Order: sequence, then structure tokens, then C-alpha cells
Amino acid sequence: MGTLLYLDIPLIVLGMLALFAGSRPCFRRRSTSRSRKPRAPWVSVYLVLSGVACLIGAAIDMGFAERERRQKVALDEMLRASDDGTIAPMWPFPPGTPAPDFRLPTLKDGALVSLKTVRGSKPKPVLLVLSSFT
Amino acid sequence: MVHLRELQENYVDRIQIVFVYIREAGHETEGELKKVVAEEDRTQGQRHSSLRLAREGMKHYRLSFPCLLDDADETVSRLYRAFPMRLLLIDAEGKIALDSGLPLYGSVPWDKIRNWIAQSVPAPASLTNENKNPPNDRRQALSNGGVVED
Repeated sequence: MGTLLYLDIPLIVLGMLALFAGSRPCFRRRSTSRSRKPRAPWVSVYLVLSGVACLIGAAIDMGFAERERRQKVALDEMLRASDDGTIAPMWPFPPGTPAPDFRLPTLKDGALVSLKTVRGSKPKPVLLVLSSFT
Repeated sequence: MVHLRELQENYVDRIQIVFVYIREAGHETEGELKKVVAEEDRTQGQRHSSLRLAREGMKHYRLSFPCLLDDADETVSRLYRAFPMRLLLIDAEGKIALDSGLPLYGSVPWDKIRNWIAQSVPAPASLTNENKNPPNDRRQALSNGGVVED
């Protein structure tokens, strides 16, 4: 939003003004002489092109800002979910994070076993391998 | 899996390895497992994971630590965001000491895991020489693939 305020709005205003001025057949001077001086064609072309460039620049910048905002929202959601323990981050857990417990059946006999049970009465470190054979 | 077997053989008395069989990624397998995969594909088609493949895989790679099966809702896989693979070292207090994250291009930090075990888990003095030759009862327990409790 900051980008929109500080860069895009001036660009849009400038672009609209340039387009408006470029599309006018001539400049109307404020002088009292009421004289109308025809404008050179290249000035109109320059103004129109400048206006279009300003509007395109503003649109691109707004697109980037929107993408950045969506990424930030997604990241915030992911971090919030990680804090809730709903979902783990893709990157490594920081050391010291309590390992989420779970209960799953064993391959051997189907008995339900939790991570705590696996660690045993005299807990020793566990290498938890989450994978498959394909 | 070679690394896992090596860890199993060398650090059997220092750490407990737990394998959680999660959704299959469909990667290439080797040896006899190829046949199993082909048969399972033919008979079961689209599947979450194959019990038979898990059994055959544990035998094929000679892995004797406990293997747990993730459920159809992929509870643990989602909890740890593990698909297709993730390794975590959990210390004796139940806190994560080392996490591979989602290893990109198979870059599992095996050396870091070995170093952490070597530095953080001293080998029991009486068992130092037994790491390569575990006692019979323990070897028997491991070969059963059951949960080993001290």
C-alpha cells in the first residue's frame, strides 16, 4: 500500500495528465492575447507516450506490490499455522522446538505406539525418519 | 537407506531410530522392490502407501528399527510436513535437536546427524565394543522390528 501511495498514484496522475494534454489539439495559453499557437506534432506524441509509460509503470508496480502482499499473507498464515502446531514449516525446525507427539500403528503388529512410547522409559535421542521406499 | 543402515549398525545403543512410512513418492526403487512396486501398481493402482512394500522394503534394506505406518489422512506427514522425506533428531528431552527440513535434491545432512550423535550422545563405556556386535537379546529384539525399551 505504501508503494501505491508514494509511487503509483503520482504516476497515474502524471500519466492521465500527460494523456489529456497530449490528446488536446493545442495548448491554450493563459495570456490575455487569446492567441492560439499550434503545437508541434512531436509534443503530442511525446506526451501520449509519456502518459502511457507512466500508466504501464504504475500497473507493473501495483502488480509487484500485490504479489508481495499475497506472499506476505501466505507466509504469515504458514507461520501462524506452524505456531499452532497445525503444520510444520518447510525449513528446519529451530533447535529446541518440542517434537509434536503422535500415535501410529506399528508395521509389525498394528499396535498403536506414540513417539513417547518409542523413546522408552529411559529416554534416549530418537532419529525420526519420515519417508517411504519409493 | 544405506546411510540409515549404517546409523543403525553404528549407533544402535546411542539413539533410537524410528521409521514412519508415509505416502509413497513414486520414485524409482531397486532390486526386488521393483517387482513389488509393479505388482502393487497392477493390483492396487492409485494408493496412499503399500503395507506390503513397507514390509518388503524393511527386509530388503535390512532395517530392524521400528516402522510405524502413517494413516490415510497423512496425519504425521502433515504434522511434520514430511512428504516426500524428512529426518529429525529428537533429543532425550523430546525437543528437536536437528531437522533436515525438506531435503532438496536428496541433500540429507547425514554428516551433521553423525556429528551430532558423536558429540551429544556419548557411547556407553561398557557397550563401546558392542556397537558392532550387539548382544543376542538386543539383536533379537531389533530383528523383530519391535519397539525396544530400555
